[in-house]
Amino acid sequence: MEEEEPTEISVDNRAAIAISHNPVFYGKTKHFNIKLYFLREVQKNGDVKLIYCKSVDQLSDLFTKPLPVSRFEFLRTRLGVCSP
Amino acid sequence: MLNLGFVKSLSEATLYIRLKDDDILIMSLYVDDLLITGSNELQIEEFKQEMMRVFEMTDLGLMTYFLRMEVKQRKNEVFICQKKYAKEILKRFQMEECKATSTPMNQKEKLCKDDDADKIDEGYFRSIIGCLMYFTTTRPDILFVVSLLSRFMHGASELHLRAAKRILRYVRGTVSFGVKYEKCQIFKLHGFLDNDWAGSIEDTKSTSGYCFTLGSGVFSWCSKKQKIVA
Repeated sequence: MEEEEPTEISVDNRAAIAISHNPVFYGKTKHFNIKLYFLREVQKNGDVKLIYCKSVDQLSDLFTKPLPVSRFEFLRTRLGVCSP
Repeated sequence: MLNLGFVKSLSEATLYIRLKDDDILIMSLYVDDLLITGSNELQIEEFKQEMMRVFEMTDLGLMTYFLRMEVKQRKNEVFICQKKYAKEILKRFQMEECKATSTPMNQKEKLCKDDDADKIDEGYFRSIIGCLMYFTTTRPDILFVVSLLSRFMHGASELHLRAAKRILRYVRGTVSFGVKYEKCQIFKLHGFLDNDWAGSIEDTKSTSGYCFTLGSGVFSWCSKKQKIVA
């Protein structure tokens, strides 16, 4: 079971994607944990690819903030959680 | 296992894989239980016979119940849930007859460690969170709020207990829910990643969450407070 193309990871933050590509060291990005540089490495190798997705399609919103009912139910269905 | 030609998985200690003549055989071990799947039914049958000769064991057929997880396998879809466990939780905390809510969390409420509300019995609070933690194996929708509340295990107050009860009320309304995996056209690994920006009131640390899907249904998810201040 091999994957040929890089795994796409959706992120709704363009700045984060830009930083992940750009190896330049800025004052504002100096507080990263060293292990996060691993991300740049895997991205360079082509294992992983960060792509931008709109906040509306961001499934992992469900794991980071409390949401209103309609949004919560929409994302829940997208995750595949439903009644039998 | 290694003698039979299996290779131990690097990322999952109890998962063994065997590749033989273009066929794959996957086996998962849990203490004295064995789960097996593969691309060739004949090979699976052979393997079972082989195992039965060496060990004393019974074949329980298609997987339906494993570690409190109910598995329903139908044509082109697999559904996993913990309906029975959900009912057990509700019974244990006497929440069987409560009014159900549609979300597990109040959107406007911000929980923090030192509120002025009365302190409560920590043991009771911990046991609720512990039960719900195990319940998140098939329920990614309550994971965020459970992990949020678990930060207040020490010194839990009335407000935290109320939030925990709200999860139970949500569970009450969605007892039979689970994750459904369907056959789909585009079979591709896709991940989603998000952070909240300094969501924790006390130390301004952020929470990150991710999930991975192969077209339909998520199979890996996480919600975790970051270790360093960003």
